[in-house]
Amino acid sequence: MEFTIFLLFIAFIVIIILWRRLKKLEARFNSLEDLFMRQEPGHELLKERQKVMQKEKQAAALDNKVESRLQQQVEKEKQDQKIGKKPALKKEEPAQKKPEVIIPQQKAAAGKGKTDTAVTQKAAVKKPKSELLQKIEKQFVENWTGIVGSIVMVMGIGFLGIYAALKMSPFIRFLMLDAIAVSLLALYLFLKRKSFWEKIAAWIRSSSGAVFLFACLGSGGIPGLKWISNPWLALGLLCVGIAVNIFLGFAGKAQVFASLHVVLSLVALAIAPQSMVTLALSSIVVFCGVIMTYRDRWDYHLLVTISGFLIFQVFWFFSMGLDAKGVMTLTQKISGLASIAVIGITACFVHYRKLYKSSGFEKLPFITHLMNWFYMAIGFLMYSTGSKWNTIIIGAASLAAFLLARYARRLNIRWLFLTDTLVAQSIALFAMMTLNRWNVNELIICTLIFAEILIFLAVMIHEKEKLLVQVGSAIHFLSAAVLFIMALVLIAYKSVFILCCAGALAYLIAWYARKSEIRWLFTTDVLIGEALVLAAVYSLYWWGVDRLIITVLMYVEILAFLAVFVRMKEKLLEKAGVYLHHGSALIVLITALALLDYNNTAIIVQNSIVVSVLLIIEVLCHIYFTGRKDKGPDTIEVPLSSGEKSDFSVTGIAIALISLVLAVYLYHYIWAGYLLSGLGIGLLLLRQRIQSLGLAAGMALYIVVLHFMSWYHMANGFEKDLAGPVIYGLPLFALSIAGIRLSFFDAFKRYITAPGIYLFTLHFLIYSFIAAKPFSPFIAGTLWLLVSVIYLEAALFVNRSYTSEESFLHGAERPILHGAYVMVVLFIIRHLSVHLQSEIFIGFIKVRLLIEVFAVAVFIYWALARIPDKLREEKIWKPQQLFWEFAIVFTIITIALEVPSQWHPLGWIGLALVLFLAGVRFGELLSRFRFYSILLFWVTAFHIAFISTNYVTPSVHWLDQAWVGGTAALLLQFLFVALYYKMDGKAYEKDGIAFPFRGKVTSPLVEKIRSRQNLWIYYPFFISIGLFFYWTFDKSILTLMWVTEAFAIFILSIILRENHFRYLSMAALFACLIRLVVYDLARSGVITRAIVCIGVGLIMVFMNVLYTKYRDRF
Amino acid sequence: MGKIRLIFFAVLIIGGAGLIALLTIKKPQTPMDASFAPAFQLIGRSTRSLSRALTRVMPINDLDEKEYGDAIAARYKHTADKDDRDHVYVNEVMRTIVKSARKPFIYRVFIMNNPSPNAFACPGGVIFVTRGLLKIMESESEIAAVLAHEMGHVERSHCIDAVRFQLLTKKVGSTTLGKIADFAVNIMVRHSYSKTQEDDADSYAFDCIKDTDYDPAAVASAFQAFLDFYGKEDHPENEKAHLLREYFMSHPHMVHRVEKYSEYAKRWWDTHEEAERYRGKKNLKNRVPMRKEVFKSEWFKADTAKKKNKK
Repeated sequence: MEFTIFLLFIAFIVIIILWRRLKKLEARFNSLEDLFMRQEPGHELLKERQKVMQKEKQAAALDNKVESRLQQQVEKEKQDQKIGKKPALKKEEPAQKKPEVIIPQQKAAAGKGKTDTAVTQKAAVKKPKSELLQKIEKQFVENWTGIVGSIVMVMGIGFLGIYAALKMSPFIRFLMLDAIAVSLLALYLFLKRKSFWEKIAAWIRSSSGAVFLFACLGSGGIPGLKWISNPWLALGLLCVGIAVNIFLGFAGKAQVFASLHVVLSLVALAIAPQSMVTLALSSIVVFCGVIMTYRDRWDYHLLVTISGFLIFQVFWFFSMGLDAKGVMTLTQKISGLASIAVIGITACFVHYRKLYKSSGFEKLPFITHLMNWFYMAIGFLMYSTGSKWNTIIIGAASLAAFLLARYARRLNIRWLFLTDTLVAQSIALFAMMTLNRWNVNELIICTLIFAEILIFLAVMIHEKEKLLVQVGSAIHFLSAAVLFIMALVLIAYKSVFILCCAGALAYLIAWYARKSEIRWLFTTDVLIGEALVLAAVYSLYWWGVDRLIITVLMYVEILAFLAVFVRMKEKLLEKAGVYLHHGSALIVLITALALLDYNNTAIIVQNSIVVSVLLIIEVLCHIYFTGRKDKGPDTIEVPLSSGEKSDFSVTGIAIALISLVLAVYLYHYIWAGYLLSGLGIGLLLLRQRIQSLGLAAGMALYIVVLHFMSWYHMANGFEKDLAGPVIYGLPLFALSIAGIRLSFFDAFKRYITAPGIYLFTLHFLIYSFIAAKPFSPFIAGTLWLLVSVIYLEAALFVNRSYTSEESFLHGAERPILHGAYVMVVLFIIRHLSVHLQSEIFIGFIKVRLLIEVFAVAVFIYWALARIPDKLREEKIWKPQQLFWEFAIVFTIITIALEVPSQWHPLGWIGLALVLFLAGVRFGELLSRFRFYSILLFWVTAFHIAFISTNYVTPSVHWLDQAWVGGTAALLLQFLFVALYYKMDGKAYEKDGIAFPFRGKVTSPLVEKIRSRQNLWIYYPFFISIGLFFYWTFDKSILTLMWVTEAFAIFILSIILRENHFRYLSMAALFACLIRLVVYDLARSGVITRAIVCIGVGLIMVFMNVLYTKYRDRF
Repeated sequence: MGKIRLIFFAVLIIGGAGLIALLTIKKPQTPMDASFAPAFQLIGRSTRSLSRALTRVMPINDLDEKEYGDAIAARYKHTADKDDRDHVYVNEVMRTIVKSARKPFIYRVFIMNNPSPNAFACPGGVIFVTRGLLKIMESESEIAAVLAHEMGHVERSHCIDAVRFQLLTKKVGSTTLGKIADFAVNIMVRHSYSKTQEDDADSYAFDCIKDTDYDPAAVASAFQAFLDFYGKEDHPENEKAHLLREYFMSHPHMVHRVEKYSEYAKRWWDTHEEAERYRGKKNLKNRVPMRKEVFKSEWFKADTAKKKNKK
């Protein structure tokens, strides 16, 4: 029933499509009619359009006029301005503005015109729309009967379908389907006469075939349509359907119909129950399909047909091909093979026709042909019988394909010739692979394949087929790689002889290629031969030869290879030989490292000797290569900073690596440092002599890695042996000194001492750290600080003494100074992380304090260094100018750590006084000290106000009390303030305040302090005193204390002759009086009140006296 | 090179060489290979001072703190068993050292039933001690040292600094805002100076013990007892310098504290050859405070202290 509904639906769709196409055609006719009408003179639409165009032209002309007038006006104004005339713009404004006023109007008018035009255009656009509507209306009015009729008809068909589905028997349904097919055929016959419907008619014919095939198929197998129970009868009916379809495919005269019917037939066969008969039928169908392609160049059809056939074969194979054991019967296999062979060969020969004659490449035929081979291969594999005799059959097939290819060349079908040659080669390879069925060893198979490919390659070289030579070479390389891997990984113990033979073959083909002047093949085959010979040497391992000996043999073989090609002057192979040489040296080294066993002295001695011999050979090679006029094959050109280029010999790196392996073997002996440093010095001498950049780089690597190894051994290899590290690490100093002394480079025309100096410094740092560690953790940092002073002097000495650019230490002050800075920085880090944690005393003094005092002395020494003026501006010397700051910070840290908290304010203000006086006395150098003294003064004020007043101690000793230190600090603060007031102004006038750095924060701060000294200097002081009194002393005598402070301020005002302070003292006094009345008189005891009042009174009297005496000062 | 500079150079070289020679001979060692904790302690002094200044300028005082402490004490009063020997004992020891206190607080010690050794102080003189602490301490002087350390926190206002906003807002009737502010400040900046505060309290404890009859080495030996208990966790071999971890540490490394106060005690004994100090092992064992019963055998002199130090 569903199928009937589906058919009705299809019929409905077809009717609708046909009706729509009719309408579209009619619409096109109508529009063409319109177009013709518009072209006729005097047509209304044409007239309108001409009018609009005229209006547009007029508006554009008006615009141009106005623009030219405006331009004239502007030019006139410019000329007036040039001759000094005021532009009469304002006066003439109305007149001048006229055009401006006009313009918008005109433009508006123009715009209006445009809008009108637009409206007209819109109307013109709208008009067809309305026409369209009218037309639709008209169409509807005219066609409503057809539309309604269609609907009614579809409804009728629908009802009929439903009825048929419900009432008819399967046979009637079959007849109905046949009737549809016949109707369609009749429709085709009717339409094919009209050329316009020809195409559609063809499709309708195909549809009729498809429907008929479906009816035939359904009769025997589809539920609802099945009316035949006898399978042979059903199959017979299906054959009829297929035959009709094949005929229709043939009759269609187009690939698409042929493909459609073949595919439909195959689908129908696939739906039917599978048997040998269906296989045979499918083969017949496909055979017919393939035969159809002989009519013309029907490659698409051929591709579709053979693809369909393969899919059917796979389907058939899996749907019925297997027996109970899951194995196909031989008959089935042979049937399958036969069908594949028949179809494949038939399809293959399609292209062996003059029709395909072409010297160029043809994409589609090529793909089709290749796919045919591919499908054949799949088919044969699928039905493979597993017989060992297949090798001969496949081999014969390969030969046949090869001969066919030659036939294709005769026919001048080049692409076919190439394809089939390659296919033949592929089949031959496959035939080789099947040799395993004859129990042939895999390696022998690989070798035979390798040989076969070589023969193929030789033939192609002989035939001068360039492309095939390239392809042959590619598979030749691949086979060589496979052979190589197989030999190395799988069955190497048997492979020495085979690999040698293969290598010889490769050399043979190389010789032949050289003779045929195919250079690249010659080069590659030499390398393949070399690789195979090396693999043969490697295979000796399976014969029990020592691994290191094998690698050395390989190294020697490569050396011989290199020597041959150096002699033959084959540049490329010489280069390859060099790389191989480096590679083999690397393999020897890796093997030596892998075999390293520190517990086996014999191995150590034996391998060290081998590595040493290797080193000697490499050194000799290096001397030879660098000595050659043509720069040597291992040379790389390196651009220098000067823009020139220099030669970089890679062997230099190899020497370094070999030396390092030797170092790895020997480094744990206590004498190793001496031997390895000696070796390093020797190589450095060699480098200096032969001026090799490569060796320079290699030596840099060697020396650096040797240092790391030595440091590691020094740190971990001498447990409880205090002298061990000291003895071991000592010769490395000689090595870095040699690095400094032997550092002349012709390429740069100067000594490059910096790396040596840095390394020397680094070694010193680590050496001293490791050597001092067992004694005390305090030693290393202290030593670094001490040596920094020596480095400083050394830098100054070098700067003074080695002024000539050619002298070997010229410019060395920079790395030396860097070293000195690093030492200072490391000392600081060590002091913070190590020294600070210790509270240990030596005698009566703390170790930490001793170091801190020493550090301050060293920093002062650094700060006092006499740097030549020309150096002061150099960046490298800038940090040196900050050493005063370092000294101050360290002093502050020392005070903070070593002085008890209650005495800190005294420490800060004491330091502030020292700094201030130093800043005044040595104003030229240390003017900034006056600024630092202010900072310390503030810290003191803060400490006194907030910390000292809060410091609680359980001690009863008066010296432990915070107020004692606080009061002493206050007195010193007073002194500081007085000195500051007296001396700072003059000092500022004389020296100003200069910083060694660009003080973005400090300089504005200095300016601010200078401009409002009272605010920044005195007020913090007075406030701190007030707070100190408030929090330290009893509230009852607070008024007295504050009055005393006010009195002190008053005295200050007299000394400094500052009215400002007098007012301040008066204000403070007034506040104290209020407190006296409000607080003291109310809350204090009588005696306290008395003392306070007396005190306050006395002070006030004194103030008055002093005021009277020094009134003139105000 | 000028003459003076040459002399300076020579002095430096000779002095430096001498110093290195001295260090080589004496072989002074550090408790750890490296540690940034002391550096952070040093830096923490400035933030601690600023924090202190902030509390100072706020209108809160010792009376507010006392009130706060009394409230805490009242809350925990019911947990204190007057017949508990430990409770009575520690309060008696507290009474011995409290004479050094300068603030107007009533110092009360509460015992917590916790096996882990610990002690902490709350504002207003309320101190909590765990039973685990009493187990690992070897003498009364060590108990006194721990209590003195906690008292140091109270006396040096570390406790009030932690609750200042709460005390301030309490005056206006709402403490929640203050609690939040304290919590925020403590979370954000306290770790920068908490090590400094601990060091401060250690220093207070040492000064406090010095002024009593107890052994000044008790401060170090109390820390040593903690170190022995926690052993592996704070062992120098396990402690590598770690910038971030050491910054966030609340306390200084125990090994540093042990070394510092051992060295200070040693120095004290060196300058007080004739002094006699009390250890109080039996007192702790019997839970009898020294102020009630003195055992003759617990007294010792400098030579005994030096022998112990050498060990």
